[in-house]
Amino acid sequence: MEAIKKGGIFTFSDLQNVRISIGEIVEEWGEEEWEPMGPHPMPGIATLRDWDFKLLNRYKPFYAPFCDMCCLCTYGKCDLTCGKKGACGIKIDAQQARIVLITCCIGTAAHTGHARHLVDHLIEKYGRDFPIDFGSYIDIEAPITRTVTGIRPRRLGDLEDALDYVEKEITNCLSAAHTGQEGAFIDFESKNLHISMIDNLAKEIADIAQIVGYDFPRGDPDAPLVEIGLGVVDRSKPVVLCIGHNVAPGAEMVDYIESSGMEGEVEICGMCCTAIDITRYEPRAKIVGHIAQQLYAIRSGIADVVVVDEQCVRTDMLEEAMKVKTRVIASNDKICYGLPDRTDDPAEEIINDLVNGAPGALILDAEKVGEVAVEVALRVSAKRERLKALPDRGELKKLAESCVQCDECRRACPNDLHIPDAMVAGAKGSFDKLAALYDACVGCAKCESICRAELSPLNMINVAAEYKIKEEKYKIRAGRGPILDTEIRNVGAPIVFGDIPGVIAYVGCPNYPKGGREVAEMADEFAKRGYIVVATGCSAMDIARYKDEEGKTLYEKYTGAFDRSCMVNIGSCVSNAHVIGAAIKIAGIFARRKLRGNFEEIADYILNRVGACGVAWGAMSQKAASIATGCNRWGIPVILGPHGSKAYRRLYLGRKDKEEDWYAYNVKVGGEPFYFGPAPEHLMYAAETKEEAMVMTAKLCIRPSDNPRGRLIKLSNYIDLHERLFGTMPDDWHLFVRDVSELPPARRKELKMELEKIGWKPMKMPPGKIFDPTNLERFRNGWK
Amino acid sequence: MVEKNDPWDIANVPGPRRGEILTPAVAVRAIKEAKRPLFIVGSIALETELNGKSLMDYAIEIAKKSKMPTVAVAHTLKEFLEKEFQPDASMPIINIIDRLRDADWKGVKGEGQHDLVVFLGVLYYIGSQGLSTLKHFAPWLRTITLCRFFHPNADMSFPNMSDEEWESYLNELVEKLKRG
Repeated sequence: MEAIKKGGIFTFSDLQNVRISIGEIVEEWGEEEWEPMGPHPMPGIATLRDWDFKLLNRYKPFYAPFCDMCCLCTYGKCDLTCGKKGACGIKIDAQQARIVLITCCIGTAAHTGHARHLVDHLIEKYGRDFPIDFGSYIDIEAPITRTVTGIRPRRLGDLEDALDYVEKEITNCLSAAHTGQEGAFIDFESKNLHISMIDNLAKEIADIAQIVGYDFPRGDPDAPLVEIGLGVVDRSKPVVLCIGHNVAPGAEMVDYIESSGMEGEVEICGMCCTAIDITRYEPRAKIVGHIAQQLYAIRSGIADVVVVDEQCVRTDMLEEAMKVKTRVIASNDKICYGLPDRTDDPAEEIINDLVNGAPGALILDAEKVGEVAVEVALRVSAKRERLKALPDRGELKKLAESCVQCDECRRACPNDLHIPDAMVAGAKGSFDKLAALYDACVGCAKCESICRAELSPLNMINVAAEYKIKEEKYKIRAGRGPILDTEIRNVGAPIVFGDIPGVIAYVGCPNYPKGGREVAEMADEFAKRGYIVVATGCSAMDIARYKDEEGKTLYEKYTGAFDRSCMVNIGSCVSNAHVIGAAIKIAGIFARRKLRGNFEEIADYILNRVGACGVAWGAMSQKAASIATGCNRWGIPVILGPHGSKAYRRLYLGRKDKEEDWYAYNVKVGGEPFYFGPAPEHLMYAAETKEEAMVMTAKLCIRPSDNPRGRLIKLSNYIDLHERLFGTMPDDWHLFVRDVSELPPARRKELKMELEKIGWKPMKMPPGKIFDPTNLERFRNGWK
Repeated sequence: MVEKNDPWDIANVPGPRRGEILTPAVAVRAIKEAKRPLFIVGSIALETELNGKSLMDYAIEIAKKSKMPTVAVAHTLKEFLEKEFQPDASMPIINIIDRLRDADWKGVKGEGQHDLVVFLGVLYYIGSQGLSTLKHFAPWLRTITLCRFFHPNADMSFPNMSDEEWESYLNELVEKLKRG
């Protein structure tokens, strides 16, 4: 039977003994009104394979196996070293791509589980018809959802349809990793790109749901400044610390405090993206830090109650909390810690048990978590005063003396921190070296797990650096969410033509090679140079932990509007969707491209025209892998820090020395493919040092569509950074010069002579024509 | 304490195949026997001193005495130039590894693909990953490292050792290269 349209009239007559069963009522919202459907709504696992192959032929997968074996089935372990095949026939390149697929599926599933929980929770609270309304400055409320699925979500319930599609794609992609399924690395990579695009979609769904459901800022450039740092917690008050990524329980705590008239009596703080999202809901809440600081915070005893939700929570949180009698509430079924399920018990009963010494409870009801967490904190706070799981400063020397200098802590440390040297100094009563290690410590505590003398270098660092930690008090702008359509109208042309030299997004986790300060230094440099700088998650936090000579953080120094020389905190991990969303909106608003079900054309537009570059300097998690790979499918390159070369084990590298790789069609000219030069040079790349990353960032913002003035600006930044950080001109600058008018005016004569020496020729373009690149053959003779 | 041929990064156990321990004498022989060796110097060289002597100075001595084409990776180029040494190329470690895995690449000097690559001062874990790529995808290439930490993904690597032992190894290497 055909679907019956809402409001339609239907009549039955002369029917007897007929049973009518009504399933889902399909409502027609007049989808044709907003845009005709494009060629690829809800693409399947192989629908966009041609686009992927175009990317992968230019940006060839580069594998650096992190493990030479496959351990996934009972035929194994199989040694895949140097051309050997596994028992199933798989080779090392396909195996690497397969592990990346599993990684990206995990990342996508994490965001999707988060999104599904939020959507279900908010529908339960407000109903399916709760409107998705982003106000008068945002018309394109869901650019990824529109482009990938063809759905324009108007109500919370519409997000369920998009989520159904997401979950189907996760199942398909993950199934391809089973033994005896996909065997070609190139097709594994196509699936990696696919599932990571799906990850982008899941993130957008999650953030849309929480923005409308919790009334977060809707792209507010002046979102409030909120407090961040390990030193901002007021320990004279009861403290609840929320850790993870799901705002639901934290929001309920805020509501409970407000409805009970207890504003200002309890500290609501957070770690990781939950913290960012609570401050989007209640700017008086505080951000303590991210995953690298979880042990520092917990062991210092600051929290009376810890509420964990999902993602990036230390798996030993319960064990750690018990050391300092911090009560733990697990609020999400993804993290249960073996705790008793108290969801259906009366709140007062749970509160009493926790106050009387129960270490924790599983409560799968956000509202109840809100009440229990606050009440328990109020009642245990006085008893817990000054509890901590750290040695006294007076014990440090004796502890350092017991170090046996075996070097194993250093060998276990992800950053090869020179802990044994600090112990030698500590044994002599000098703790400066120990304190200095704090700045580059990723807080993993592998050093103490391995210590033969049963020391905890992490705790010793914590105590030695206590004077610094107490002073960690900074300001961060609350996550503003999406970019306004009005902002896109202002910056669309300057970005596409290159007058604004690029959009740089600092995203991802805190597994930095030398501490978070490097992220802030990079962000500051590019904001100063007129780039649009945005940040999310842990990187957004670390950018806040840096003050200029006037004592201002970068969020106080630069504007929060999406414009040249800005410093925009977009929000949490799921808010990364808005970075891609901004690029899509440039295509939709500035270039008036149709978005609906039209992924390939939009990605082609972004790859060739939008000078955006992601920097995941401390990428650590599976989510970071899918976030970055998703950006790649949209044509946005990503630079990883050096740790990104390990577990991710795959990069997408271009070869600027292979001219044949850099041809595309020039639409306004027509005819045969045209050499546009190697831009962007790579899609996913790992840098060894901050300096290398900065130079590469400037280079990866170059795009084929730059107009002469835009190219001049981008080239000048690239050359200038290279000269400052590398001491000389880059050896490839000439590859980006299409005409002498693109050379920096002050050096034009000198550089022109250099070009003449190497036989450089300008790119020939018919008079009056502009660079109008596309990699899609169907557009070679004109945009249709 | 740590064994000479344990992976320095304690959990970096890649698989059944593990590189062999390299001595200065064997390193010199490998360099001399190679038709087209390549020397790669990374960012740790900028931060390391051995008894007052910069690792960059060792790198320059090795490059000059061995006459190996030298690639400055990360941002080491600036320091090389300040020390009045012109490397043959400057590029990211990822880019040079990408080219070394390409059988058709003509090498830094355009004379043909290299048959030996010598690492010094590359950040351990990114260096280890680069060596893994070459182990699996560049079978024509031998890889050796002159760092003070054992690299299981290299064909041959200096062992784990103290700064004093490393200094002695590097001095011996330079001396043997001088003697020709």
